[in-house]
Amino acid sequence: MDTPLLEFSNISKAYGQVHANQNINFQIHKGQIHALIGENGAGKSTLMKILFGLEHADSGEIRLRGERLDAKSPIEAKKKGLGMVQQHFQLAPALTALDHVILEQPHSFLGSFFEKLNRDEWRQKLENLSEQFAMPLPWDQTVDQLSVGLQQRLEILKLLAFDADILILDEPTAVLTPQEVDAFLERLRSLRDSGKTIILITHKLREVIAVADWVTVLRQGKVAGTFAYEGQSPHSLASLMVGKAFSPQEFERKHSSNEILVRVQNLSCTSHGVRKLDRVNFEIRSGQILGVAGVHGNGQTELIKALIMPKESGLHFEGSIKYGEDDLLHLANKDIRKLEVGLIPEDRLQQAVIPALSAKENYLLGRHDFFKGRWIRRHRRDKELEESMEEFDVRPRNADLPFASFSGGNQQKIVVAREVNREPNLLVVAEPTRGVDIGAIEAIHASLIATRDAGVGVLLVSSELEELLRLSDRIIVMSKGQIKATLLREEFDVERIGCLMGGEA
Amino acid sequence: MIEELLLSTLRLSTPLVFAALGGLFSERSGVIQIGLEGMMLVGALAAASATTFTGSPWTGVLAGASVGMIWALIYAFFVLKIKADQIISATALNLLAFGLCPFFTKIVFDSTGATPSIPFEQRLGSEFMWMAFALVIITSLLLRYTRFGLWIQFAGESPSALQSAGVSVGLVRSISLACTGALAGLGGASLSISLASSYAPNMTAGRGFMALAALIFGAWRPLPTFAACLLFAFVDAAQIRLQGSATFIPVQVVQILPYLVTIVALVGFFGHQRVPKGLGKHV
Repeated sequence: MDTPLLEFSNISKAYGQVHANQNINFQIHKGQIHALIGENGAGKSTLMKILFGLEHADSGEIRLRGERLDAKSPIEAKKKGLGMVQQHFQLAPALTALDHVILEQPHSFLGSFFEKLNRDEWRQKLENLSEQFAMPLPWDQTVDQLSVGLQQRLEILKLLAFDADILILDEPTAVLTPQEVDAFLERLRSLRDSGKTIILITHKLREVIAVADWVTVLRQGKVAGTFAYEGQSPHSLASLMVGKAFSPQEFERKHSSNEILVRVQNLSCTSHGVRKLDRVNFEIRSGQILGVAGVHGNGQTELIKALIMPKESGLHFEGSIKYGEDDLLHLANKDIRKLEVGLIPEDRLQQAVIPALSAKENYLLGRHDFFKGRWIRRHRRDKELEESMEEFDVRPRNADLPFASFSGGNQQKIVVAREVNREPNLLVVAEPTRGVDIGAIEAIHASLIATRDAGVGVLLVSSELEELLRLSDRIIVMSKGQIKATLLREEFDVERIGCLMGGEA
Repeated sequence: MIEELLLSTLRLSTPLVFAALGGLFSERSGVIQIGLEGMMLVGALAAASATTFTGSPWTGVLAGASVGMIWALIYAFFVLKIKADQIISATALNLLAFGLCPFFTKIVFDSTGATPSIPFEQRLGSEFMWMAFALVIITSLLLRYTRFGLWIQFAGESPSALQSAGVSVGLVRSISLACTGALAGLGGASLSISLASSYAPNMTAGRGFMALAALIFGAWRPLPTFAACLLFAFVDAAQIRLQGSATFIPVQVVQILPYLVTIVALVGFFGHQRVPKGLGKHV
């Protein structure tokens, strides 16, 4: 066999006590789609940062086409034909797609004052390029006018415009709708067929199955397996990732009450001239999970604000949200929370916790049951937190550590435990498993189901369709602020929900 | 009458235009700029002093621009190198300018805050005005059509994108700040050796902040900012005229007018404009 395009040998990297990468050995071959999979914290990102020159390995070496590659910076890596699309795009919303590509052209500092940009020439060149790879883009539009899918296309074309032949894509499909994902994967195949090598970092097994030629599984900083992908079952891959037999089972669902807990009627909201919510009607029933499907930004955020902080959000809502005797739209957040409403917000570090404080202190937030007058019931809090950390397997099991020092999955477990254990009547949950590893996902899902079984009404907003299908009793699909359909569990259908999310009737 | 009013509008707009363009370089590259007032003040003093010593207004122009630039580079050192808070650093430098200028005039000219008056033939006339108008065009072209302009825009909108394209954000911002200082210094110079005949204590009278207001009012773009400067200057010119003619209104009330218009413009427009995304952000 000829020399591999890229070869990692004995790469190790430690941050303090944590071994992010330990003796990583594997090869990547030219013209393949190489899936790099693993749970959060398995070391995928660290490894790619080392490859791309953002981090430096403690030991070991990477060889590119047989020669030692020791990229000290991304600029050097780019010169060698590597290109990376980060998970968070690095784009300037107010500037045009065209200017983003021109920016990438290497240039000396001194001449920059006097060099007139040749936009016409670039536009021509880029239009040819988009045509060649069948990825059209409106080059003169500013980035904020481009959909997320097109922004991603821009990031990739930026790499292609400067002849990158190894593309590193970090969780590229996290931001796309199901339809976009299929088209995107198709495009990856054609990029591969045109001779590019693609490193696909992902934790979605469906993508691996769809496009990967080769799979490398990382687990706890080590290579758990590297093999040509030939139809292995998704479960065997998942087991490799998690390190134990893995089979997500259907949850048994207890039938408890299903009385109407919350009745949302004709809820509308207009902000800056855009109709964010358009005559939305639905009910949340106790003992059921109501899933809200939709591409991010189609009214879900406003819907949650209407339920939790209608007054504080600065938005103007019309309609009503009947909850028992009350209309939530007329209540302040602190009064809504007194009505036993729990919230697991989308952005935990911004909205759920104070990252610099300890887990113990954060566990108090919003939990009035831990206060007796002005005094904190420490023992009660400590005991409950200890039990929760045990139950959810939070690691490290030290409640005095600052919240920020826990990994994403463990942080979320603590937030979920806090909100579930307050014994709410209504629990509003947004993206509970974003940026969370498979083990934690299982624990969080089980906890939400248990909450449901205990008779709590749950509203679950998620952009992960699989999560919604697994947990929900009913799903409403939102698009452009409207509810496109309400589906019962026996009517769940990925294709149909996908179409509805895209705005089709 | 109308003609005179328009002419004095143009003359009065000159210091504002310089300072607002200066602010534009800073804020479009992502550095908050409330330090224009201080830069104008030291620029005005330097220009008047240099003109007094050499007898040539052009050395005054050079001195005003250079001292403004040095002042801005001190700010750059604080906020870009040490990464100090931008608002606090600029406030400190403004206060320092207020304190340092009288100190300097006391030592050098043994006067309480003012420089000796400059004879008419050593002062500049409309040269400043034409320079300011030309700079509006040049800035507009630089931003839109040159590579450095593109870098400034990326530094202000998405510094991390600029960084990952291999361009030093710190260097781009430092150069932009140097331009800021030079321009604000010129604005100060136009006050002390053209509009007036000497440096007088606190002669900028809030023009640095009005320039910032014009910049925001003009949505951080050169031509609209220029228009905003003209508006503010027009109100100023009208105010001066009213002081003479409309005796039934107390002078103090009339003098408030430019500031009142500034506030109204800001309250009405700030928040509706697209602020540079990377303003005040480090890489």
